[in-house]
Amino acid sequence: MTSPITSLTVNYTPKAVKKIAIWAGALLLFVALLIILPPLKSVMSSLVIALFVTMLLNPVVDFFENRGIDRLLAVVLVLMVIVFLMVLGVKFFAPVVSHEIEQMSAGLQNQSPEEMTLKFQERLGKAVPLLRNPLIQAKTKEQLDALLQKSLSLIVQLFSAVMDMVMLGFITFFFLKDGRRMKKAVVRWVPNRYFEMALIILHKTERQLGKYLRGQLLVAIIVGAMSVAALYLLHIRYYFFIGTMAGLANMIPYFGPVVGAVPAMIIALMDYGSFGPVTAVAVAFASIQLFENIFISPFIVSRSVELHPLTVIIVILIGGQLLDIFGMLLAVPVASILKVSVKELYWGFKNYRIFA
Amino acid sequence: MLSKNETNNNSPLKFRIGDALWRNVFRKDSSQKESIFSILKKVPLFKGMSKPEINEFDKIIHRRKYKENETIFYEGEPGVGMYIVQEGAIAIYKNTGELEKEELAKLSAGEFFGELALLDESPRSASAIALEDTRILGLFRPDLLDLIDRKPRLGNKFLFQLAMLIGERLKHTNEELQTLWSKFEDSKVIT
Repeated sequence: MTSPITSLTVNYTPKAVKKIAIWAGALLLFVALLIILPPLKSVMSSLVIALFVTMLLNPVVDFFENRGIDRLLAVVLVLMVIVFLMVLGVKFFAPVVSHEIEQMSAGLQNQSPEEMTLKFQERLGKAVPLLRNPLIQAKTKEQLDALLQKSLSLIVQLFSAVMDMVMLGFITFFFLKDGRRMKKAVVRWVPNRYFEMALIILHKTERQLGKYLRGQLLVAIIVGAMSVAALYLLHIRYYFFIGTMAGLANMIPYFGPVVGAVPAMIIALMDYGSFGPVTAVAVAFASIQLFENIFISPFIVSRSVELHPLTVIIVILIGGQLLDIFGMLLAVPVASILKVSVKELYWGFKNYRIFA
Repeated sequence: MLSKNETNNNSPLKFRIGDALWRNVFRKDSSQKESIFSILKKVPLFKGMSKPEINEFDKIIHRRKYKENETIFYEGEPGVGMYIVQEGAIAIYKNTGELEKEELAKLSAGEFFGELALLDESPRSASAIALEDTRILGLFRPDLLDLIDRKPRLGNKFLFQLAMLIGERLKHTNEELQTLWSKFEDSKVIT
């Protein structure tokens, strides 16, 4: 009698064994990545940010190369100009910002977060009588305490981010200088059957994403400048700091504008104790948003990477869970990479008859 | 006992390992680079280009290896760029029926194909298959466009050669068409 095992034996050809080995290898690599990646979260985010900065700066380096300057020299030149601009920015704007931060930290030192919350509650109670209810007051206090603690940890995070800047500059330098060679080295490992498809997908993704990121940055600069101007005209304290943050936060769809407006509205309420200035700030931010959505974004930001609002909200929440504020900032561009890649992969599979 | 030469080669071992690593990982083999230069120099599209100019193309050229009977691209697929045979042989064929195909050309080292795909993404008009284990060099549209952006003078030189090549072919096709037309006219007169 033959054993059941013998009857189940499959005749493995060398080709089949090779295929199984490749799949097993890919599975192992995936599991290894799942284990390795979480501890390397900060390195990964540095790499992703450097990649985005490279996409922003690449056309500038190409422009200099186009004018006959050697690429290495062009990269050094561009990075030096950026460092110079940053130094210039620090020299001119730091007194304003540091004065604002000093004022803020002095305010924090003079009053404990609890005291600040109480003061704010008092003002809020005066403005909205309904909020004098002890139950609502207790709940508001709890929420405000948590918000304040979070904003303090955010400042610490921002400082550590500044520390990472040098590292970021270093990685960006090599991405700008050797990016082409790196891309070539990556494509080299793609099997012959998928090679042309991989090349075209990589190119299209890079082009669309670069356009989208450059557009987003330009919009952020315009919104930031408009916010600073509006807050200055409305005599809101820390106008420069909050306006700049509003510009940056604008890169996070839906949440960004709220994140930008709320601190300004809280400060207006704390300083003036009435809803008049708060409404003025809200109207100013709403007008800026309206102006941005109607006149700026449609002309600047590429429409090809538009995501569904629900997708945007979900990816921002996931990004926030994984990498806090940086995760929220990176969520949409990363989701855009995935969307463009999937779209191009679909196009590639359809046109290159991979499954035919 | 080791000869003087061997002693020199073996010590210091650390340096030799480092050197080999440097050569293998970070630098291309100079002999390979030289052979690519000599191949590209013979291709009409790179005619009149200096060594540094050809080296610029070398930076964007992809080296691929194909086994015997492996397809390089299929007819109808979007074209991405051109290939130059470095070593081995390639057959270009066109599907004439469901299972029939007609061989259009056989290409060996130094010859090139698919250059029209450098201009647009239109579908490939024929398929290419390796007749033996083959090494080919690929130059693709995204990289060429990027080169034109960065080094317009060099890009123009290449595009000019490409335009000349296409012009030559057009002239040749016109001549063939004329010959065929006169044969057709003659046959009409006879009948």
